[in-house]
Amino acid sequence: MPETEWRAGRAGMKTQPDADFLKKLTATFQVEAREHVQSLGTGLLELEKASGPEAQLPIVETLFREAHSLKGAARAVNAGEVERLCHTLEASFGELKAGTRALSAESLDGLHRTVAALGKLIDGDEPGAPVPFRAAETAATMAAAAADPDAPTAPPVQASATDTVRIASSKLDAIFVEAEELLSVKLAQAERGLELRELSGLVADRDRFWAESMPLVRALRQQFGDSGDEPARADGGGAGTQGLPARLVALVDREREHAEAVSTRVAELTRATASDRRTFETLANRLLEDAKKALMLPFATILAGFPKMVRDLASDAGKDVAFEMSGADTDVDKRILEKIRDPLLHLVRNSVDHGIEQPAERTRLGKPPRGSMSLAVAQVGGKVEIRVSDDGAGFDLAGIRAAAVQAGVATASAAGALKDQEAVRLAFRSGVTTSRKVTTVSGRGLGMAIVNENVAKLGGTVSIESTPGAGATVRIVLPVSLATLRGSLVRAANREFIIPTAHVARVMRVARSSVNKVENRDSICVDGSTLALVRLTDVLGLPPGPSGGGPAPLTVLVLEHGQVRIGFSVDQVIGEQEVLAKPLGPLLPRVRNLAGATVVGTGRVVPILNVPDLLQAAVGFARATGPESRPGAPAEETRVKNLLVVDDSITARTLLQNILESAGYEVKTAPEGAAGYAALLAEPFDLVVADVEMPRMDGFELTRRIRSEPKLAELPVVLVTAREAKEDRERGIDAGANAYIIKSSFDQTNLLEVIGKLV
Amino acid sequence: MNEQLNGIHDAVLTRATAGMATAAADLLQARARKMAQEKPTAGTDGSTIEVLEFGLADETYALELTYVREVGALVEVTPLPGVPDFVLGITCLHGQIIAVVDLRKLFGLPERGLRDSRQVIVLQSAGWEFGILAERVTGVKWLPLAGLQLTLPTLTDVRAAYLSGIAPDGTVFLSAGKLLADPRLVVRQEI
Repeated sequence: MPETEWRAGRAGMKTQPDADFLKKLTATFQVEAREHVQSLGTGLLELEKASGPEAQLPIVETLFREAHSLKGAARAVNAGEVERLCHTLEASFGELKAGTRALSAESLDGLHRTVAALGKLIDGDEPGAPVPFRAAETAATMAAAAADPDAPTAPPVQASATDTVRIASSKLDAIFVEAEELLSVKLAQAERGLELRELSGLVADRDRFWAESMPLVRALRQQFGDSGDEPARADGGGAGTQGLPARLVALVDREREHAEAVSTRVAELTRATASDRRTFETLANRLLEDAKKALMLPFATILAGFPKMVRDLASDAGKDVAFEMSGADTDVDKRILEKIRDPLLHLVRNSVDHGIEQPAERTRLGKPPRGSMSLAVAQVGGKVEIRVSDDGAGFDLAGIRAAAVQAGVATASAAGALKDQEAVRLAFRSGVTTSRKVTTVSGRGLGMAIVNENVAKLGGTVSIESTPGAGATVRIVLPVSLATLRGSLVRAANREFIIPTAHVARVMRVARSSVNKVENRDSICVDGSTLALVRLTDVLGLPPGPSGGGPAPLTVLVLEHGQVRIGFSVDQVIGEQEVLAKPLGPLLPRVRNLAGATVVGTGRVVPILNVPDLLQAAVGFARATGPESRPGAPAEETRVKNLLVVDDSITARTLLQNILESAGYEVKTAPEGAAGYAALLAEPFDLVVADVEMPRMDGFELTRRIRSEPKLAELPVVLVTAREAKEDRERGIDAGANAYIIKSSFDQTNLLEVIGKLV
Repeated sequence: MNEQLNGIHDAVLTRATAGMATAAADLLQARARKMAQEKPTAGTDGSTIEVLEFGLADETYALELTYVREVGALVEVTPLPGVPDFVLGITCLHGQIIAVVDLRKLFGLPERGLRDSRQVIVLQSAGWEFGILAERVTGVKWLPLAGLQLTLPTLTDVRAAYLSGIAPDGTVFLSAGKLLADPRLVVRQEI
């Protein structure tokens, strides 16, 4: 790779005169450069110890790579002097490698001196001043430095302690997670605050009661309390019935004083707690913000190697590319940066390999022989937008179409019928079923599926604009920070669920023998208090899993929200992990017991449970069912229940019939009230489901008829209607209906629940 | 699997050798071109409509292509507890969670058991989006509107609510717009 090929990054950087950015970049460079210098130093020492070319050669290889990497990094920040020293080193190591030069004590000394000079050059920084740029004079003295090791090659200013420290990212991550956990404490405190306010309300009610009762108290005192101190003592034993009213007055007075003291104290505490809570919230928010900021790094940290890579790739392919980067100072969550690096590498490589044409081809097409590529990062609102553009050939639509057909994700006819812009999107799908294999081939468009998936995992989107012959732009939009939560992955009835860890008070193993029955409900003893115990599968309405019985201890998660704590038994707690919550989509805006879904590491989609819902359902569940009537358990009665559906709409009738039949009921239908009434008289039914609005005889009238016919008086009637008005509901109940269900959706769970209770 | 891999490889080869296309890719492109031109000449005056044809419970259905965002293999569906049974579950397409509706349950059609080549057709319109299960996707074709029977007295079930018409060959042409706009399909379980 001849040096003249080098245009890309430098040109790009020059278009970015942002001083702030350069400062950051220089700081990043310094950290990286120190590492390389250190490796070079230790490598040289090893080289000195190694005997024989076999032992030396691998070390020389390493040293060569280190020098080369540092040279590349130096180029990126225009640190010409460092670059030149590195080039000298690289050349020396190259000669050693090729065997055109033998290793001697003198040459080793010279190498050591050069590395030392490099170290001084890099460390000789004053905060804020980009050293590598002002080190020109030391460059000229390089030869002298090599000759005279004592000559200072950098200003004698000793490197002042920089304000950058290196911390293992795992430590930062831990701090962030802990800060995030304060959120649940914050929420719990808000809850406590509400409870205190409730208590204050109760106390205020009592104060009002006393205030209203004061005239009465005064009257009592006037009448009985002035008869002297003696009988006023409540403990005045032996006093006759004469003194009783006076003692009562005294009692009332003391009680009132006590109430006043309590209400004053409660008011004080409420105020103090509110103030504490505000302080805590502020601190917790600030800590979380700062922890987030500590995890925010500029894009430059992952883009540093890009200009060099573009140059190398282009020169290998015999192409001429001008590469520009902008917005590398945009800060983004470190976890996003880590995961977006490879997709970006892929896109840039794609552009060089398959986008930009050979210079001759470009000239033939009337384009400038030098192709141009850019990588632009910009913050747009709360999002980060990355555009990777080139002025090359654009996406190969025919190739993508054919590949998609061959990969089986589209039929030939479907692929052929697609408009170009839609065909480009096929690129995202080439790997839907065979993504692993697609990575092994490299073609324009192929591999986009992986890019797309990686971006989507981060909660971002990818779009492509491609103009055949004129170039392509891939646009990635990412969130600035990840919306993550900690979740416990559990298994129940062979299904997996995520439970937000913030709601998990504890996880425990409970021996089956220690489960008590309290009022026909299972309960366990945790820390001295009794908690209700339910099976997660029961609350979710799922059949119990394979490990439902057996002697093994139960795995129990104690879930809590507000004041409610309930134990949920599951088959297994698989582990705890960070999850990125995603909505269930527009069709499922609110599903009971679910808060969303996430894609776990293995690619499986796992629902995230909604703990407040679960607790509410569990409370109702524990109340509604004894041990002998668990939902999901086989019904004791085997006779199939006979239901009559009365509805004038054939659609609704068929739908209801279908729903009820699949729930195991025998169903007959009637098109309106009068026909329904006739059917009821003709044969026995266990329950009627009737629409309200029907011709001839409506649902209200049908219900009244049923109630007035002695034979049918006990027959359960469920009215199903689109009318949501309260008056209609009341009319329905007045008429004698057992239940009144609004048919706002096809969600039959409610209907089946109601019917299940009535028959 | 190997065939698929070879297929991709061929396609890449076609691309890479730019112009020295393999016979296979030539064939494919020719086929694609033919498919693209296959619409009847009458298509321009609005008398035909482009539909995606798919099979469900031994019947053939068609949906207007403009509502079809994509068709993908249904690799894995995660069932959800407590949802109506026409919601088969959720699946992940390119990192996005998509609800999958089973029309067989909605229409009361028999289920033939799992086929190994299940596919999902993702319907999309103005913020509404969900997938429907298809046992097999036959392809895209132009459906002449003139031949459509708009109502059929014998089709007295739930399907009537979503029906656009029935083609002479018995293909049930469903209205994707009506499916997408039906608020009754939305699961909103307030506690």
